Amino acid sequence: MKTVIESGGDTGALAGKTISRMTYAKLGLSAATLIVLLLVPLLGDLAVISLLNQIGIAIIFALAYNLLLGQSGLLSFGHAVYYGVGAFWTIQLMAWISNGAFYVPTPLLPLAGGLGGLVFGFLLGMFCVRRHGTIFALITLAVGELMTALTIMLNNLSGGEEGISAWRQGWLGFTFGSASQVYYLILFWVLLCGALLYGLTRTPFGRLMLAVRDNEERARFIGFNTYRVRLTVFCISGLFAGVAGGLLAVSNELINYEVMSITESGNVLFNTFIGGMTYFSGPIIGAALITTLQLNLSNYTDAWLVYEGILFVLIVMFAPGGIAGIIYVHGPVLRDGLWRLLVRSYGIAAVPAVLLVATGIFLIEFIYHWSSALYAAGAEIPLFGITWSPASVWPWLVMLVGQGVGFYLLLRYAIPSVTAAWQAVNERLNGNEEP
Amino acid sequence: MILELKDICKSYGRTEVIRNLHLQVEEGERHAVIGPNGAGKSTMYNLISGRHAPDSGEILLRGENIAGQPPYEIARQGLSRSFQITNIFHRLSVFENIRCALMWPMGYHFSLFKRVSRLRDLNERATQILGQLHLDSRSEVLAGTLTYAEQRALEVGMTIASGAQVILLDEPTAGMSRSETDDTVGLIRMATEGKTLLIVEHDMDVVFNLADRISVLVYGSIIATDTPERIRANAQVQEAYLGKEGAA
Amino acid sequence: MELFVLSAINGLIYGMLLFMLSSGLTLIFGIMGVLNFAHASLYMLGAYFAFQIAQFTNFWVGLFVAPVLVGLVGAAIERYLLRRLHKYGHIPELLLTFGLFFLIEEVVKLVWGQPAVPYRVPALLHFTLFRLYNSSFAAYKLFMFVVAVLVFVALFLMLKRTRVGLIVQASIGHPEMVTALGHNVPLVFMGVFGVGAALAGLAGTIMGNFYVTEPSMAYHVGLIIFVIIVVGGLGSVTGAFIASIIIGLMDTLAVAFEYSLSDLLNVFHTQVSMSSPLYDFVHIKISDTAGVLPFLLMLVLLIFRPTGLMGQREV
Repeated sequence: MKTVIESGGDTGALAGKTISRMTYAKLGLSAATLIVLLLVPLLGDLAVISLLNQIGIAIIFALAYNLLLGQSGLLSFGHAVYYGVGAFWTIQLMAWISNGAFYVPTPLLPLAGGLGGLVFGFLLGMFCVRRHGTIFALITLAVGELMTALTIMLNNLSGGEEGISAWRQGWLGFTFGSASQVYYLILFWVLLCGALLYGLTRTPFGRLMLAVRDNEERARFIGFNTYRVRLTVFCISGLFAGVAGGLLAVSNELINYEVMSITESGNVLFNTFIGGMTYFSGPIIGAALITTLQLNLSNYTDAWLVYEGILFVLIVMFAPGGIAGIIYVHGPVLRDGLWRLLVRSYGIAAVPAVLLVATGIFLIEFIYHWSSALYAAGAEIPLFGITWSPASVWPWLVMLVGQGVGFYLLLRYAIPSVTAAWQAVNERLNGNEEP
Repeated sequence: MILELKDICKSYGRTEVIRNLHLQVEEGERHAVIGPNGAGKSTMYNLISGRHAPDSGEILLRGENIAGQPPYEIARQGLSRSFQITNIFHRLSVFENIRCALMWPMGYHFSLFKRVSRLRDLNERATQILGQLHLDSRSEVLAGTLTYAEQRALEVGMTIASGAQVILLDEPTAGMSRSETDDTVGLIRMATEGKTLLIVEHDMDVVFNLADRISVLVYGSIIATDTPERIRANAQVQEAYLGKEGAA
Repeated sequence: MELFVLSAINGLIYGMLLFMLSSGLTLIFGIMGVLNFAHASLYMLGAYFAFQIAQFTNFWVGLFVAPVLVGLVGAAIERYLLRRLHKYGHIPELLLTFGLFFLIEEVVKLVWGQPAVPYRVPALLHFTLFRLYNSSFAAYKLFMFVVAVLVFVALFLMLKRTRVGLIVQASIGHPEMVTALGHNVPLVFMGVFGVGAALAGLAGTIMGNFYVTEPSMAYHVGLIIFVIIVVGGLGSVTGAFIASIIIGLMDTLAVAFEYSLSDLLNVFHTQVSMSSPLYDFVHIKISDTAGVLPFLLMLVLLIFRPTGLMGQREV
C-alpha cells in the first residue's frame, strides 16, 4: 500500500514535475476558501464572526502545538503556559498603552505575545526538553501546574481571579471596536502563521525535526545535538502559542490565570489530536471542529464533554491519524475512482453505526436527565419531545437492546465487510503503483 | 596513525567487557576486527563513536582524545559509524534518509529559512549516493518498508554519505546472500577509497578480501594485529576460534 | 510542638494511603511501561461505586465489592483497549489513558452529578479515638491506616514470596524475556493492571468517605501520585513507599507552616512595599505552596535524577 509521506515532504526528485490536475484543484479550492473567508463579516451574523474569531486563535495554537506533538513526537501536557504568557504579556502591554505610556499599533500586539512565548519557551524549555517521551510529558505537566499556581499567587501581576483587562486601541482609522474588524486581524495572523509554519516543514530543519522524532539516536550520530534541536522546536512552538495568546488578549480584552491551566492544555491536545497530528491540516480541522462543537453543542446538551471524551478515545484506538487521516486515506480512493468498491461496505456499516450512535446518545442524555431527576425526587424527563417517567423500564430496554444489536451487527457484518473492501482497494492501489 | 585506542577499559556492572584494549589504525588503511561472539566488538564501536564512555583509557582521533564525547561531536570530527542492528529513519523516505545524513557535513546545520527542495547541491549529492547504493528506484519508498538487504545498504549508505574520513562499519553484510554480500563489498571498497575503514565482520571471505590488516578481539582485548596471511597462521588466533584441540 | 506531632502522625497516615494508590501505578509502569493517567480515575470510581453500594446495602459490603468492580474495569481497559496500542509505542498509550481520565470524570459527572455525594464514614467507626493536645483524632484514621498497612504487607509478601510475584518482578523492565521463558505475559499484564486498579479502587473506597467524594478528586490526587512514582523511582514499589511517606509528610506539615519570605526579611528588618511587584512573591506563605511543593520536587528530580530515588528504569 502506498503509505503516506509526511506532510510537507517534497524531495528534490519531485521538484520540476509538471503541475498536475490535483494541484490546480487544490489551488482553486484554496482561493475559493479565501474569498469566502474574506466575505464572512458581510454575510454572517455576530455569533458566526465571534465563533470564527475563536476558531482562528485555536488554529494558531493548535498548529504551534503540533510542532511538538506531530512533528517532533513530544507530547506536552502543559503547553498552555506559553499561550498564557503570551496572553498576559499582550494584555499588560494593552493596559500600558491605555494609560498612555506609549503606543503600539493594535495589529502588531500579538508580537508581544509571541515574544513572551519565545522567552518562556526558551527558559522553561531548557529543562523540559532534556528528556523525551513519557518523562517529557510529566515534566511539562509539572511545569504547567507550577506556572498556574505561581500565576494565581502573584496577584498583582496577574490580576488574581478577575484577571487583567484592557481596551483595544484604534489604528489608522480602524477602531477595532467591532468583532468584524477583529476578525480581519485574526484572519491575517492565521494566514501568516499558517504560511510560516507550513514553510518550516519544507526547510532542512523541518525535515530534521521528523528525523529526530523517528530515531533520535541516529540523528545524534549524523552530527546533530538533538537537545538543541528539540529546544529550538520548543521555542518556535512557544512563540506561535504566544501569538495565539496575544490574539486572545486582543479579542477578549480580559485575561486571567485560567488561560494557563491544564484545561487549556488539554484542550489544545484534544483539538490537535482529533484533527490529526500527522498532517499539517489536522490541527486546523480539529481546532475548527472542536471549537464549533464546544460553543454550539453545549446549547443542546449538558453531556457535551462526554461525547468529546468518547470521540477522543475512539480516535486514539481506531483512527490515530485523526479526522485529517480519515480524509486523506480516502484521497487516493476518490482520485483513482475506486470508491465503488467501498460504497457497499460503507452502506452495510452505516446501519450499526447509526443504531449505536442514536441509542448511545439517547442513553447518555437519558442518564443525564435521570440522574438529575433522581435528585429532583421523581420528576418526569423531557427528552426528544417525549416525556418519560424515570421509573419506567422501557427506555432502558430499548437503549440496551439497541446497543447490543448495534454492536453485534458491527462486529459480525460491518467490520469484516469494510476490512475486505479496503483490502480490495489497497490491492488495486498497489497494482497501479510503479515499481 | 589516525585512530588509536590506548588502554581502554569498560565494565557494565561487574562484567568487564573491554580490558586494556589497544588498537592502532593507520590512515587510509582498511582494518578489520574479528573475534568470537561476545568478544566486545560492538562495545568497542560504541566507545569509539561516543554512544558510551569508556571507564578509563584514551581514544585518539588524529591525536585528539575523543573518549566520552557525545556522538554528534565525534561525528562532526569526521568519524562515522554504521549499526549492526539497522538504525535508519524508518518513517522517512529512502531519499530523506540519505539527505538527512548529508545535512550537517554539507553545512546545513539549523537551516530554518531555506527551502529544502531548492538546495541543489544537497539533493544532487543525495541522488548520486542513492545511485551508488542501487537504491535510486526506491528513493520515494518509506525506509521501513525496504527489504532487509536494502535496509542494510541504506544503513551503510548513511554512514558513508557523511563524507567522514574514518568509517566504522559494524557487520555490514550480516544476513545477506552471497551476491548481496559481493555487491556490498564492492560498494564499501568504492566508497572508502582514500578513507580509513574499520570494519567488524564474521564473514571471513569479506575480511580477507577487503582488509589490509586484521585485529583479533578476544575477551575484551586485542590479542593480535597483523596482515591477513599472518593472522591466518597465528596459533593464538586459531586457538581462540577453534579451541585448544583445534589449533594446528 | 504538639502541632508538629499531630501533623507528623497525619502525614504518616496520608502517606500510607498515597502508597496504596501509587503502588499500583508504579507497578504498572515498571512492568508495562505505561503511565496510567487514569489511575486516579479508578480511585474515584472506587469511591463512587462504594457510595452507590452503600446506598443499597452498607459500607462493609461496599468495602469488598467496590474494589473488585474497579479491578474488573481495570482489567477490561487493559485487555480491550490498552493491549491494542502496545505495538505503537508509549505516546498512544499515554494518550489513551489521558483520554480515559477525562472520559471517566465526565461520565461520573453524568451519572452522579457535579456536587459532592454524601458518602459517609460508617457509624461503627465514626467516633474520636483519642484527643491529643486539644485536637481530636478520628478512629476512622486508624482504620485507614490498618488497611493501608495490610495492603503493604500483602503486596510485599506476594511480590517477594510467591511464584506469581517472582514472575511479576522479573517482568519489570524485561517482559520479552519473561515471555521467552514461557510465561503468559499478557495475562500478567492484565493481572497487574487489574490488581493495580483494585488497589486504587480500595483506596477510593476507604478514603472517599473520610475526605470528599466529588468529580475533581481524581485530578487532585492524580497529580500527587505521579510525583510520588517519579520521586520514588518508576517501577520501584519500595521507592513508592518511601516517596509516599515523604510527600505525605511534606504535604501535611507544610500546611501547618504559615511563614513566608517576608517573615524572614522581617528578621533582618527589611520590608517590601505594597506597590512593588515583588510584594506578592515575598508574601507567599509556605502553607500556600503546600500544593505545589511536590511538583517542585518532581521537577528537580526529573531533571537531575530521572531514575528517582530507587528506580532503575529511565524510559
